[in-house]
Amino acid sequence: MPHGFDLPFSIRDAIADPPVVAVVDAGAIDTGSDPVWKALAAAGLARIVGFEPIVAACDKLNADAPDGAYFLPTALGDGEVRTLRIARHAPFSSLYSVNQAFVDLFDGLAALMATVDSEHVATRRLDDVEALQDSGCDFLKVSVQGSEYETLINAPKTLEQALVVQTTACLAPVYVDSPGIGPIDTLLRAAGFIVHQYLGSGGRALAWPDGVRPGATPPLNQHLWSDVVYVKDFTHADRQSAERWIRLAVIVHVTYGAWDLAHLALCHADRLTGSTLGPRYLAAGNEALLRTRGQALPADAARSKPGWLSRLLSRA
Amino acid sequence: MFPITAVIDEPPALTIVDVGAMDLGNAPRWQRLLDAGAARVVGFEPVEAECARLNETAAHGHRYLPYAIGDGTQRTLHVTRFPACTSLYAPNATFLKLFQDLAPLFEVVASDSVATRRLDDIVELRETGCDFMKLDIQGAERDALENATRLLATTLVVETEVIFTPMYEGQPGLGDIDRVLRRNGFIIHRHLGNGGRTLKPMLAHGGPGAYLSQQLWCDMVYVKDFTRAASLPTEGWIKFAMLMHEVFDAFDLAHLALAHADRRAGSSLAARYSAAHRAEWSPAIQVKER
Repeated sequence: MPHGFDLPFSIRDAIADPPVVAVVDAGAIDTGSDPVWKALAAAGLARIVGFEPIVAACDKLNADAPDGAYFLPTALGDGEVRTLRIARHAPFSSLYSVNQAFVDLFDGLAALMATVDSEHVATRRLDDVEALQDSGCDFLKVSVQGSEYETLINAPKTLEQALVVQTTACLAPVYVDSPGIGPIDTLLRAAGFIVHQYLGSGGRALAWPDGVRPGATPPLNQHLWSDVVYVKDFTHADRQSAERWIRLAVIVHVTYGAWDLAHLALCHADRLTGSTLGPRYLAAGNEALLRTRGQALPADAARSKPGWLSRLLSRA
Repeated sequence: MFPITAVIDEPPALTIVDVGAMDLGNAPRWQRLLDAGAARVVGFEPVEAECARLNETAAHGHRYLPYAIGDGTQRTLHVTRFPACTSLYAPNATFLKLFQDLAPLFEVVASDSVATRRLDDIVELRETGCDFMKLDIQGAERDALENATRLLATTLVVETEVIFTPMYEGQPGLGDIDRVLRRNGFIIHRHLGNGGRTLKPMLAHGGPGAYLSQQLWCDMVYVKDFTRAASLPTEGWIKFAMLMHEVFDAFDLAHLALAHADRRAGSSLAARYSAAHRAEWSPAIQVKER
């Protein structure tokens, strides 16, 4: 996060009764890092439908699920029967086969990605999942080891609803014939999204066959995958309803600390309905800043000064 | 770090093609290669005053040409108040106005009709070829690459700016650039950092050039697929290693490229390279650094 989440600035400071957003988590297996919806769930602002085709991993997710979340043991794809290759490190399990010649070049990667079991699974198209017919989708996260493109191309209806998509994308040919970041970008752009954040790359160092490598920590120069956050193009207020702009604001405020985008989305809602959410949001941000500094709010307060948060932030 | 030329007996000379070569005040990423006299630059900069300035200060052997690189058609060059935002695509004012600081930089101060040149048609590149191509031409990177199939056939590394938001009207995006490069045998090596801005009226800590969350562009580095030794000739792998070592500090990939060269030529460059690293990182040095 470029600026850190250092400001105690709750969306509830600005919106008394924020809407609960519908999160779809495609590829929900516990990877050791926090799920993308953790902050939304903790704030009681998310209903979550997740998908995890490894049954044991799915059971664990359901056992630990916060209120309003449940997980289905479904492999998302094109609706055909496919082979799910279970990897030694379970989060690497994939509908695609590992590009062995490529993966072998890296330090320790092949062992983690080695297929230890495989099973035939009937994949479901995301758009065909009954559970989403009622819940809808405001925020879609996809991390399905190479089948992100396939998941997205089989979800035009879901993408039309979604306001924010966070997807993993392969940067290099880790899996055989798996479409990577380029096709994913083209597809999401065509669906009306623009990049919000490239969240940083993961990967492994290449192996040095004679056991020598520079320094104690292997360098990470060859990037293998990244998460990228897309949002619906926010240029024009009339592209979404006021209610949807508010939900976009909730998602990006809570998940990414994107206060500037949350504010713009609320201003778009104001333009459509005559509400005053934008100024209230800015005022709440100013108050949070002042609280942080232990200062009293000046008599004329921030409410009349829309640029105030900017000035305070620039001095922070 | 030791220069890679220390382990290569007769290092080949590299050609760097710099598409959008305007001097922005930073040393080029390939400065170490220039210092070592291991590379010559052929650059393109359509803003004539900027191109003239580049030639005035250019070292011997480097050359800058005032061409707008594109698809060979007559196009409009939108010259902006901040020269580095000048583009064959028109700035998307509605989008840019949402951000701190951006709209004044992208204000169009002149619109010139220019005959764009296809990279593959440029006579000056026929002799030199290209080992490393850098592109920073404000949204027209895809157009340049689409018209460089012959040049890309021997190019080893491409560093390109990718604008991933609609800063210019109708500009191609990440997916379009990626498609052309993959078709020409490249894979992503790495991402080199993002630029962004804050949406008004907020202003991020760090001033107008900083951002809270919304990124706008990045640089991506592509390399020829390095899976198999057979995909490049020996000299290609040696040049590849030189670029990885000197430009990107990707020592692991430099090592692999030298191992590929060894496989093709029966040399022992990878072992010499490892030995040089061992010397650099000997326990004595590590203790001293602590």
